[in-house]
Amino acid sequence: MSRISGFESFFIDKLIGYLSLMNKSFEVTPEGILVHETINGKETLVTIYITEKWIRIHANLGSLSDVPEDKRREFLEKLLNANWNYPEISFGIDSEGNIYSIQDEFVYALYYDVFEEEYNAVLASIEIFNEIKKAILKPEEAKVQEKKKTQKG
Amino acid sequence: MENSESKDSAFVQTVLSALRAKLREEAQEFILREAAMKILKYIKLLKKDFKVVSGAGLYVEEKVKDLTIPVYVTFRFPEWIEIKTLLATAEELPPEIANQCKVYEILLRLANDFAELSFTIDKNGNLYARQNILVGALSFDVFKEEYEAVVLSAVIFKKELLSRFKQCKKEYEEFKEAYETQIT
Repeated sequence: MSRISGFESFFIDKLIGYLSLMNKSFEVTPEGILVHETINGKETLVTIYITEKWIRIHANLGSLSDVPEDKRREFLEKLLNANWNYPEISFGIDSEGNIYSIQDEFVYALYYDVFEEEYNAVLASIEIFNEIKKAILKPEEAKVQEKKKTQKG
Repeated sequence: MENSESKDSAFVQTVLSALRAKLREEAQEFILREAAMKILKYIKLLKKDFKVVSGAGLYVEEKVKDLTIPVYVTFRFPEWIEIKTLLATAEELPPEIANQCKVYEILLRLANDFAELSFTIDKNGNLYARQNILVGALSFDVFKEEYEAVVLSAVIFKKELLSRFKQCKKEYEEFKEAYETQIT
């Protein structure tokens, strides 16, 4: 999606107002509004930017390369299952293999209640993503630990 | 005496608490009834012929070119409206093909590149295009945009993507181009 200039200031002003009401720590940059979040003690960056018809809220959750190739199909299927199990949970992958939690808000629907809901959906999906990743990688990690133990023995 | 006063207060509190629960329930019913009325109004404004389906929803059979796209608009209680259509059953696009042909990765890349797209798989492996609208955000413009996004996703998927997946094409740019030429 291409990002637009012009007309942006109206939406940026609204977004700044909403983030202030939500007591968020954020900065406005040419790349979008960067919101600093701490989730389970881990710093996470949520980015908000404006395209032609949509306001995108997203958070980079990690890279597909972190998941062993033989686990990827199951992992990706679980992400798509999560989209089914939870309303407004949506994941995407960019050309470099970065995995994102994504919410797109139609510009006509940009008002506080909707924005807050969609923003919180991005935060909620971070937890869901971590659970999925943990469940997929757990047997793999257990195998690695087992191998280490055997080698030590 | 003190014990009696505390019992009296507990009784009043329990009555008020039950009343509040009842009011909440009624308020929710009122909000959902309003949302259902709005959906009916929007569907009629869009001149769609619909059928009522069990499970709190309605169904529209969209005819686009030579395709029939079944679109479901349902409530996902307590606060979501879901618009979805089946893109491919698990038999049409089995997990082994999905695995071998990077189907899930391509779908997630499309979802990243196009705001209109959101794919999902149910517990049986069936693939859908889906959009959710918060009841509080339900307006005609939003409904129309999301409804049309689901229909367009299905048309492009069935016309352009499904055959590519079945041929096990893995070049993402080819899939992206198929969408780009259709979405403006």
